[in-house]
Amino acid sequence: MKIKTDLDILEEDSVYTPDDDSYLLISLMEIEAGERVLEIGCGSGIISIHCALAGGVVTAVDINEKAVKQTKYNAEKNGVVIHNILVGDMFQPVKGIWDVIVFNPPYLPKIDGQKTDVRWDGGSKGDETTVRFLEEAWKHMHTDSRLYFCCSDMAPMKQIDKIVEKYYSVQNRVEKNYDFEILYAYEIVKRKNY
Amino acid sequence: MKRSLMEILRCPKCKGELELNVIQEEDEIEEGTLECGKCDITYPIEEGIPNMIPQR
Repeated sequence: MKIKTDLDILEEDSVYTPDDDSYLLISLMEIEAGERVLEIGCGSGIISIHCALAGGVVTAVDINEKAVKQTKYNAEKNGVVIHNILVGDMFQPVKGIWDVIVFNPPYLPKIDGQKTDVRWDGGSKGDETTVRFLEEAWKHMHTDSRLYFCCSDMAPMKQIDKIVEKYYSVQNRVEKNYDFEILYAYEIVKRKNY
Repeated sequence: MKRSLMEILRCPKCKGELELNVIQEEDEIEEGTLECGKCDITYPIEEGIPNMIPQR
């Protein structure tokens, strides 16, 4: 999708602010009008808003109540309809099969002794949240569903690669080198035998 | 929340059906609850947003 630069997005300290990874993911994504889209970890709502503007019927979920409120606020402020918005832990409260699933996960290793920050802490090594997501997502996909997510070389990729190889086929993968990390955005589909 | 959200919602714990109780509804449901009788957990709907994190 083309990145919209004219959106008016409220940014708050307690919610992940749209960043390089958000935009890398948006630029990789393609949404057709009418597709049912599930965004896990909607944060500010930037990805859900882009999907809705492209004609997607979007359900946005975040474990952080403040993020969900911000997604709702930002969508309304920009005149965009996000079909459903709810607070929840990944797929736990939702059933059904989706045409598109997207997650820009928190992927940084948690710093010892500090309280978990859901904006970017992806577990003790940094990959746990992504691994948990990938272990579950294929159960909510049909054979043509697309799944988009991103990760960084700041967290280990071995386990992520292993799960991707087990359950999914990679359709598209882009990487971009930033000053302090390499970001990867994936478009994957589930394997036919799952 | 839209009433149609009920088609995709499930209890996060037992994955079972939820019972919707509406307190205030305008174009959409603004205030209400979602109850799982099996788990005996009530999930609030506040300002149009269901909170599906099980609370103690």
